Amino acid sequence: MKRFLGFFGPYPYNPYLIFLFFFAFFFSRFVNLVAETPAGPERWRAGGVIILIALIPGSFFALTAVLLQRYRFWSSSNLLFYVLEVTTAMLVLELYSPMVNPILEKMFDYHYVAPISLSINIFIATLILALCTLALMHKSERKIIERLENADNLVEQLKADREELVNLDEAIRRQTSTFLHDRVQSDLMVVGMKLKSIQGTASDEINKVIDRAIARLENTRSADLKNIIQALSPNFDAGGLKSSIESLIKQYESNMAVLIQIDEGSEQLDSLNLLGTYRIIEQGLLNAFVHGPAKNVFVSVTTDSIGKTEIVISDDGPGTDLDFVDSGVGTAVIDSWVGILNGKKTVDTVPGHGYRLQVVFPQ
Amino acid sequence: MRSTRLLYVENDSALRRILGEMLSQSKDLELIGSFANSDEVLNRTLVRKADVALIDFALDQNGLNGIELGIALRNINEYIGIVIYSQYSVSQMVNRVPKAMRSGWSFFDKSAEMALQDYVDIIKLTSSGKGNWEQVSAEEVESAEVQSSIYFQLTPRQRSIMSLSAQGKSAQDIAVQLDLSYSYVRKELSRSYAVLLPESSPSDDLKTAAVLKYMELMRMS
Repeated sequence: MKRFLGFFGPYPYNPYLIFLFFFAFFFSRFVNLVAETPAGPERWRAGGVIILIALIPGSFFALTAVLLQRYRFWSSSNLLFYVLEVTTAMLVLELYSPMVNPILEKMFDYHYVAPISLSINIFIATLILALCTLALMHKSERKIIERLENADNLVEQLKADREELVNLDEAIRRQTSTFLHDRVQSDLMVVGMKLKSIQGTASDEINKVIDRAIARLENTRSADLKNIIQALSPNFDAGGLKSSIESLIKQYESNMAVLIQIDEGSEQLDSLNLLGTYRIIEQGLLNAFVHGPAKNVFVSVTTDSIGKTEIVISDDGPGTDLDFVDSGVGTAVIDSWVGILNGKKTVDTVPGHGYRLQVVFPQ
Repeated sequence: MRSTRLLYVENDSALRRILGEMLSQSKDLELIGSFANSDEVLNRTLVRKADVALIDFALDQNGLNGIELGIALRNINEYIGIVIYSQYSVSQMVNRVPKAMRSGWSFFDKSAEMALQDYVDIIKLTSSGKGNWEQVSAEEVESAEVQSSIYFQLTPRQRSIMSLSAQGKSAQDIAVQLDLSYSYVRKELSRSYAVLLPESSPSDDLKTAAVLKYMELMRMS
């Protein structure tokens, strides 16, 4: 039953099809007039008038379809409303025909005789016929639109999933980094200090061993662990975005010269925006290194007074053809963050003239 | 001379005990309180009595960090010296302190290799208003870098157009060679001129000057 009713509607109106249908319908209804009019200017005039008569309902209903699609304030997925719309259109149509006949009679002495006279039964039959015609005209259209909607939903879903993955990844990073900082690093520090405190009571030889042990612990704690903690989850409270980026670029120092410009406004961004900015730059630098390597990279972050932030990562590497821009993991991470930040990404690159990534996001 | 009265704030209980005991052994220091977080230490009478506070940067995650706590302490006692130590890099931390408030602030990296005297020295100096913040903070490097950044303000498309222009090609030739429209190339050229010569006036010979500037930048990079 549901499938049966579903055949009748509702359908999304296609203004072009509707225009063509009504134009063809009215043109063919009166086209006999052209044949009956003697050849010459009179026949051309009759043709012109009939085209005009056919154009009016065609344009009117196409325009109505457009307006309905855009401004309809009732449900577009309700069959009853849809049938009411079509019925109203038919009633309007019933008003049009009686207006046309007197004109043709007066101008060309042409009597158009409707094959059947109007009654309620005829009206209902015509309505069903109209609904079927609309259904046949728009069936494939509806299918395509449904598929497109499904595809759009899937893309949205995929985007949301990817952003969720990024968020989960960040949560794990943060947990690990907090654990390493609060427990491992702190405990190493405490052990070192305890060793130091027993130094006074021991022999010279033991003191030397203790010194070496402390030095080793300290090296692990203040170099290796510190870098890992920073890489896992940067702490923007401590030194702001700039110092986090500076420690990020240290690992590229021997390969690329990285110049950074970060303005005051960008340091005031909230923690999610700071993290996104950091991650985008992290991947951008990685791309510049892997696909280049570039000799120089320029990174700038600017935030204007209304809170719009612009990240630019520009390099002088080999660049690439825009048509062949790869879609690697780095790009996926950047795209996910652009989504999370509600931003917009622009890539510009020309072979031999570098690569430039720009991301703009609102407050 | 009376000993320096010290407040100590550290959320790691083991470290707080060890370093606390160590600091109270010094004859030059009087440890008048050690605390785990910012809520405990914000006691007006105690803060007014203190000469200096030694604060860990990373305190309770939901509360103030060490620098915010230092600023809060300063608002209660404007003469108190603030020493921040951390396992995070301290080199940029001073930027988080308002400029007018920076004197009497010190920063150092946590280290198990420091002896008691090292702590005492930095704490006493800070309490007398001589913080080390100027030595710790990283130097700002400018100007020469700003110059070379101009090249990177050009998009790769603009760079490719400028490099053809530097070879003496006309906008028409460039459009044909790069498969772009003539008007687009003209637009990109004038945008490039605006980046390369920010202070030019319309009467100047923009093209020659811009090409010269571009070639100069290419030599630099």
